[in-house]
Amino acid sequence: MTGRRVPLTVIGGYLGVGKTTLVNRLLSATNGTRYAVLVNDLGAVNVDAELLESTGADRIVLSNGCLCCSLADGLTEVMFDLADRTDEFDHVVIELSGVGLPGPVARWGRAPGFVPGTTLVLAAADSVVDRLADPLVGDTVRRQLADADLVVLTRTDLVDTAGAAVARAAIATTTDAPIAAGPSAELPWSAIVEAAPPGVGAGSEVSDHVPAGPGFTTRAIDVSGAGIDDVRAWLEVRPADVWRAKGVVGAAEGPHIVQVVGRRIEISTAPESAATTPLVVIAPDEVGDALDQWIDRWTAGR
Amino acid sequence: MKIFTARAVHTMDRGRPSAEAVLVDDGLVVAVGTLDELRAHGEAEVDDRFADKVLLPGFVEAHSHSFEGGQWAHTYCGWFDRTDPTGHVWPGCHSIDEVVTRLVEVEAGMDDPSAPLFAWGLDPIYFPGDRLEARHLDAVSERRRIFVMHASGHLATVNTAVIDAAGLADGPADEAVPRGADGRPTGELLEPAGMARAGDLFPSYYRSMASDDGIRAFGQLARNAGITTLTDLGSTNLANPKVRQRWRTITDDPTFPVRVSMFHNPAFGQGLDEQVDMVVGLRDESTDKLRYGHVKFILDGSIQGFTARLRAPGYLPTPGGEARGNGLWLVPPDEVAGRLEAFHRAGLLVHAHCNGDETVDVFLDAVEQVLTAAPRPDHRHTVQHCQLTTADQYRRMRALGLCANVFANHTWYWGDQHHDVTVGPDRAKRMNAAATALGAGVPLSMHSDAGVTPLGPLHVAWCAVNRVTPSGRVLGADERISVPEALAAVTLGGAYQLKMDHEIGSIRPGLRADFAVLDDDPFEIDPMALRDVGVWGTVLSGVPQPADGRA
Repeated sequence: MTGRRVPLTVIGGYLGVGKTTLVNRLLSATNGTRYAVLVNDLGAVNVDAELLESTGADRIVLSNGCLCCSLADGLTEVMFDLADRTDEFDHVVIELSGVGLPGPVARWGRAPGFVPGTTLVLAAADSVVDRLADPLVGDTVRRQLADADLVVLTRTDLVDTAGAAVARAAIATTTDAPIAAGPSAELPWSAIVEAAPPGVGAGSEVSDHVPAGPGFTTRAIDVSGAGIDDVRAWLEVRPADVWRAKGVVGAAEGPHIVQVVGRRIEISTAPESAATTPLVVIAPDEVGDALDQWIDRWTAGR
Repeated sequence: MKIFTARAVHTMDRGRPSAEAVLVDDGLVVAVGTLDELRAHGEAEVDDRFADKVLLPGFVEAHSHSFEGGQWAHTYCGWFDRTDPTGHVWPGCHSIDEVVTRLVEVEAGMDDPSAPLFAWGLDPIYFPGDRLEARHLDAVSERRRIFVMHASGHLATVNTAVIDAAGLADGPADEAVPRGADGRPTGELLEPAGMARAGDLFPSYYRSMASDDGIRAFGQLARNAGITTLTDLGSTNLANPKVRQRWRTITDDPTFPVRVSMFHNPAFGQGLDEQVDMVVGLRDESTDKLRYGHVKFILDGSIQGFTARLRAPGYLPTPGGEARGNGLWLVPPDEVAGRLEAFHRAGLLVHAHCNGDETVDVFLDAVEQVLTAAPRPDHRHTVQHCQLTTADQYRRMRALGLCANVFANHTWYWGDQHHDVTVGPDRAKRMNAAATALGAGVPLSMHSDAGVTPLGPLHVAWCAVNRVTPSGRVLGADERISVPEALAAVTLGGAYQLKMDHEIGSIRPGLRADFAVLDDDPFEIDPMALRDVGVWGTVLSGVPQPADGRA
């Protein structure tokens, strides 16, 4: 044990929803975060050849500091191993099998060596309705979605607007988690997955880091000086579609790491010496107005 | 050459079902017959140590796991009496108080005050309305850390010393570490992620399951039960050469008294093509006592854990009247045929764990699809557990050339729970339908799934013959099978499913001289006494292997 605890992100969803694509994107654009990624099939890890440092039977090491581990020894044994050397990476990502239930795996986030990260469950816009109605796997897909902090609707480029709306409505029967949607190439994956706000982990400076792209919008709000309970109360009335918020808040009680992970709020104390940051909020474009009104409420209340 | 005389030799071979002696040379059977007949082969030493014993083919346990041996490094506290590798019988603990009493006794004998106390086998399903909690274990010790693994393997209970040492009462409550009305952790730790919260205890327990001593204990337990061929059905990562070396070293030791067939589980593996190549390559590492080359799929969970996948009408509602959901897939149903096809096309044998009947449907669909694309004679793919397999499924299995390995021991260990709690009286009476399987012409074996239930083919056979539960009910009298059918299933039936029936499983010229040595004749006794027949030990490759305390 090194004493260091790193965030644990779980990526779930049935077959063909883009879990491996997401893993490959994360590994290729890391923002400096050293990910340890646990995958069912190392052979499906596909990154630029120049990133490959070494390839072994149960492990791939990348030149950007990331590590891919096979689950060949079983999740339990791999987690024991990782917990013993958390100084070698910044964040653990577990890619589940197509029938894996995210909840029991996400609970490793409270085991020694780890802190909870995001539980992302992916659903494909062109298949989720059929999957949910499938007599064999419908209940499994439903339980997977119910465990999500944040649902990611992928393959939206393969359906029309009406099709995407039907998919969203089907997902909404399973969970009250927000749904992030968009062509997978354009979603801000690292901003969604990365647990540490800039300045806490290995990430870059805030100014470089507020992501932008088609389909989503970001805000940076300074909430320093406020009581942490006030910050929590304000977060609890956020627009329902906020995907992610994170920052090191210089609260009246001292610095706190504040996170919104889909439907979940996580607040923990940060070291006294931690540099504080604005709270960065990521949400879909269409809630931009609601987001501004919510931020105005904070400002007006101060 | 050596002749073993016996009260009777039951061969499981139709050409000569019984005899009075067997002639052995160089580890193989030369002939069975009368003493006079055997002397026709020339000079032979007569060994009459089994003159009052009964010889059967060595039993074949075609579904077991090596952790059966590993768990005996720790204190047993399950509900049923259970025999340890030295032959000592640990009485079952029938209440929380008896569990505590057992642990108090063991704790008093521990020298190192800092060593944790590990126990296993606890099954709260037998203590309705009462659960073992930290407060009970605190009566054993307030200072020594105590970790009690439940029989399901899905949860453990710890004492307050563990809760305090691991800081489990700090921070917000969460699902892996449930809390009581007082806001304190109850002591239960759920699933691996919860058990891992007990610091070093869970890794230590987990790794002890695969210790060298555990593997040796697995062999001892097998010999003491009359088994000469065991399986480790997909519970060991065979891709790891160090693991294979350990098994090789232990099984090469002449004192290790049993053969083991090690199945590869694709859950331990990367890339289907690589796995196929690995399993094919591993065959070359096989020895007389250590076999590789077969594959185990695990497709669903267990019925008593409500995680097996069931056809309608599914599980009974909870005692409170709430509907229960269906169980868990461990492999996406859409991927079963693809995985099967890869191993099947390479000529490999696949055994698939299917507890629920919906799971059997998925596997049979996959088999039919794969066999249509890639017909292969004599594949012997096997449905493992078959607990809820129905008559129509057995008929389809017959047509597809599949074998059944039925979890007969369940009738005793969880029969009353299936009747009352999981599936109700009707389906409970149909469970583990050995008679229906035989009637449909499906090749049959039966198993213990050790360490889920103890190794003991005579007990397995007793269950299938009598179908009696601990409460005394006969659960499904029409699915009972005869003693000869049951004994055939745990000898030749197992050998056939392991593709070893040309070597073991019956006693006839040319086969390995592997025998179970029994104190009584199971064909002559009251069938209700079948599980009580004493086991002297075994003969492996012609060499007597006495059980502990026998010689």
